[in-house]
Amino acid sequence: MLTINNLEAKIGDKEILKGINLQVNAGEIHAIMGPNGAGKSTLASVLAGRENYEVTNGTVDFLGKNLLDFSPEQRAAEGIFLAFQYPIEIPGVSTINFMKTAINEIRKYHGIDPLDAVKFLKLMKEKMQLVEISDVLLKRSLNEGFSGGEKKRNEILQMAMLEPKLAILDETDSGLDIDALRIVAEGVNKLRSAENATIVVTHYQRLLDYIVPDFVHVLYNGRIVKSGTKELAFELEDKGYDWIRSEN
Amino acid sequence: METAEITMQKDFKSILIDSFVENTEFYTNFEKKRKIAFEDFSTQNFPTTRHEEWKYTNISKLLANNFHLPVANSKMTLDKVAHFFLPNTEKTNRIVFINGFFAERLSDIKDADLLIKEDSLACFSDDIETKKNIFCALNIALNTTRTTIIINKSVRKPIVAYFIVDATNENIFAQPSIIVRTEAENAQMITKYDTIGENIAFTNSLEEVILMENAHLTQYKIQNDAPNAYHIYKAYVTHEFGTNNTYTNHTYCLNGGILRNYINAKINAKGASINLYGLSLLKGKTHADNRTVADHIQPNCESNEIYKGIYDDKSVGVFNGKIFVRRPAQKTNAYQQSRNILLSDDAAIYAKPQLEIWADDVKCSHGATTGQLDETALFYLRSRGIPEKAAKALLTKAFAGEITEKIEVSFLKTYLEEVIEERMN
Repeated sequence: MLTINNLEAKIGDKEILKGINLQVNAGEIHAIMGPNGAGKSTLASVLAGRENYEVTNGTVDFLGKNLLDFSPEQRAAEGIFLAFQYPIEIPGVSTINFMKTAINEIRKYHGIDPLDAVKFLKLMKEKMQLVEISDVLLKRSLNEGFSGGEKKRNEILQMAMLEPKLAILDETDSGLDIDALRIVAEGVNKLRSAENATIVVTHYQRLLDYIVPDFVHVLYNGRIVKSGTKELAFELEDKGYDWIRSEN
Repeated sequence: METAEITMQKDFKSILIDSFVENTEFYTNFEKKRKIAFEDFSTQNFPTTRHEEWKYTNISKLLANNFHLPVANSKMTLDKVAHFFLPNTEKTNRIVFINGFFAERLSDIKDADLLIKEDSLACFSDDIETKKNIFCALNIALNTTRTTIIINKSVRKPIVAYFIVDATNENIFAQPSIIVRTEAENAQMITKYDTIGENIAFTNSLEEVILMENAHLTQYKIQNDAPNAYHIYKAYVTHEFGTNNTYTNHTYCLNGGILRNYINAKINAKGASINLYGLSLLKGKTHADNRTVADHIQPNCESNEIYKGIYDDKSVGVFNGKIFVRRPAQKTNAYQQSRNILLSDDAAIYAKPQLEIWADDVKCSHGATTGQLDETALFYLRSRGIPEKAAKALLTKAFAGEITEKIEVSFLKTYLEEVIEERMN
């Protein structure tokens, strides 16, 4: 589904990704772990098309298309979803209005008629249950005054609504208590299928108790320095990131 | 070049001076005030950008034109003006002014207790700054009548006043002279400005608003006019003839040549409060200069002010918000915010809050921000599949929505939301 080949990216003059290689197939969950500053969030942002990063080398193939040619909105329409580490507060735009616009823009991209209000609300209701979020919250301004847990649940709700082929969860566990973490993880697990894939970016092993990965990669200093199965995450938790630092 | 402009400017001024006609038969208070205003007008010069209050608003080019000074026009017909009327206003009180004069035939008053008089009896108060504002002096001096709008307690329906200038045949200099007195508990008054024809429509409005006991008035000003429309508007608001009265103003600058609005509100009664809201949504070369004065004279009163602007193309916004808290006005709450978004590199905004506080136990705050649309917010929306243009429109509408959501008149809210929507596409 996704093939990243020797991807290099910088912000300003600072090189952050220094040659990433990664293959993700449909049905798989990949965890990307690493210490702060390793480039985890940069990788997630570059895949989603954030424009303040400049890709200097490498290719990203997504379902046979060159992902790097696409704008962020085209990537979303093609099936990429980034769950933000810090979801943005947008005063004056309700989650409902936001989601309706997003869904119908993506449908327009694919040449499908927009969803009418009734069908849209029905879909929304169905997905809301997945993350235990109330409609009162969704009528309010997007993420404005939401708690950390509510923001992350809202991210997963958006993911459920947009049904991406590849979901990238950027530090979704940060700032979550155990209950919120469980709800978020359950949401992600329920959305999992043989047709879609997930990349979980995380600093801690904790999240991986809830979202069990097929593969674990360690990102350090802009490169993937170790790959393995979920046992690698335990080993990392046990030995700490100093283990990686000493080896590189 | 500059000398030439000044000479031409003098021409317009001398035309105005020559057109002053004294009523020598009856020396009433009205006439006395006209005479004083005429002297004030004669001794002042039209402002240039060297004048602090006019630093960013250059009217010298405008004043270099020749203007026809109209008289009450009885020939205008409804079919020529009806397309300016707001949709879904069949059940409202309609007041039409043509070239600054009340046109009774084109008006449609539904509330029997809404009284409109055009006479030379009603006088503006001494609050009007004729000594330092040449346009106030000019309005009082040259007009031989005033239009008084009396909103009695039983008036229920919204009042929509249309100020239409007919510039079909020549440049027009119109001077509406309005006194509004209200006793109603919740009066909603909308004023809309429109121009017929391609010549220059230059309007110099003066309005005084008097709030009686327990009166609450919301005025909405809609300037969605033609690019050949120039408007210098001044409003003086007083609370002193009652208590517990509220004045709310919404100013929407959407289109025009140069729009200059000045609101001076005296918060001079027990339990008085004011709300001043503004939204400028400009494109092309429209220039909107909004000036407000919240003058706290009595203690325990409140003023709230939010002016927002979104500037595209080569449009220019100016905001000057003054808050005065006089020594007796203890326990005053005064808030002011000016928030601006520039959508183009050629657009500009000059925002200046000015606070002068003589009382010591007050809560005052002010803030002015200027920026572009938030890049991270834009990326967030785009990452969900919303194209850049639509994402910008969504964010802009949300920004404007903070003002439009305060509108209490549904047909007006719908109209403005549609205008904003259309502007975004």
